[in-house]
Amino acid sequence: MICLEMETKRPHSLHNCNGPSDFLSAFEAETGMSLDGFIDRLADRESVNVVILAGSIPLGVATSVSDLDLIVLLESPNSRPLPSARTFPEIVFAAEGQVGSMLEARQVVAVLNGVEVDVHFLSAPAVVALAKRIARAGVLLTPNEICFMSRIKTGWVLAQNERFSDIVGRLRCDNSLEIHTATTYVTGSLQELEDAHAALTDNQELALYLGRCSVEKCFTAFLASRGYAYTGGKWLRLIGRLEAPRSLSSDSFRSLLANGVRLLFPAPGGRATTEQYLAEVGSFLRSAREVMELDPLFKVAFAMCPQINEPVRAKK
Amino acid sequence: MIEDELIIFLQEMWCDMLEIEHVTVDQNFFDIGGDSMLAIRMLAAVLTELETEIDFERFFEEPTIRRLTELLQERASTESNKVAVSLTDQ
Repeated sequence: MICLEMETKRPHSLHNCNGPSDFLSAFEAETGMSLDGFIDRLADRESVNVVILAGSIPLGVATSVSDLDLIVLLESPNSRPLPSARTFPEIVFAAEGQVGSMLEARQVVAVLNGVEVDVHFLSAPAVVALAKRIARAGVLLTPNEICFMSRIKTGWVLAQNERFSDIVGRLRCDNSLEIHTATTYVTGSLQELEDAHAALTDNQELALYLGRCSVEKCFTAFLASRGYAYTGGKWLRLIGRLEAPRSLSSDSFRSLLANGVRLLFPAPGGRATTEQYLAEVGSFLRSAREVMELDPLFKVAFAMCPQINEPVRAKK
Repeated sequence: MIEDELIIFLQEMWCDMLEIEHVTVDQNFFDIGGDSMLAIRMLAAVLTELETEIDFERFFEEPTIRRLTELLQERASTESNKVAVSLTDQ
């Protein structure tokens, strides 16, 4: 892996863009190269189905030094040889690989006029096949599969060919990924809390850590239930931008989230303090679940998941 | 909703979701193309459209339209009994 030297990067204004067309003109102004021109140097135009700006800018959590994450869905494997700094001086990293089990990928990182651009070339047929798999019976997804599928859904479509636009539209409307992710992470948060209680007797630090993990997993589930199955490292910033569900007052919603954020930073203390902390985590998990269950899809999904309901039964 | 109307409503919903032309009241949801994700969508649609929550476990013991209709009616009658009791209390 080649690491970028910090001096090759500079602050830019692309994080202020408010939509695809705004971004395309700002991209050219900042990098001195059109997006089409840049992609043309890396892949055959006729094979490109969609170009998506993914990551922090469309999520609204980018900063002036954020890199640009592009996802390019190709109809057929990239026939171009892997670019190198010799053939394309702005390239700082290029590799072939596989993401998860299905999405054949090529990753290229370039620094264009001081702006880092990270491009993932994925197989469009593999993405479509994965979307179909997610929409059917219970599946196990790798973190990379969740990451890419979510990024495709929440990103800005910068360019697409007509024959693929329906497919992208359907893919972006289907919320199976969010149901899978929310269910998986609610299960995980309950498991972490159970483990935290088990650690309480002989390892307070571990109990606190597991309690904190439980809260973080609950937030991941919560974000998935709001349409963000993957949010990357800046997820905490996204929490502040979420809108309250219609049936819940904004104040109650903000208060719930603020309480959850507070629980991410537990202070070490004695057993009584840790016990109190875990009780508050349990209460937060129940409240967050109630809000997620305002959407009938999540209410049914959680009710159908034995790992979520068994601990409840055990308490009865 | 009376029983016949409820059955027709559910049959149309299942046919639409499973992309099939006809379904009988005794066909098993999972034998005619259903899976867990479709079951989630179907039961969420029932919850949204009929505003009635059922015991999912009992439905999955026998995932047919006949059982779903029974559970929905059972629930509706419990709810109306509750209303009746509450009116009597007043």
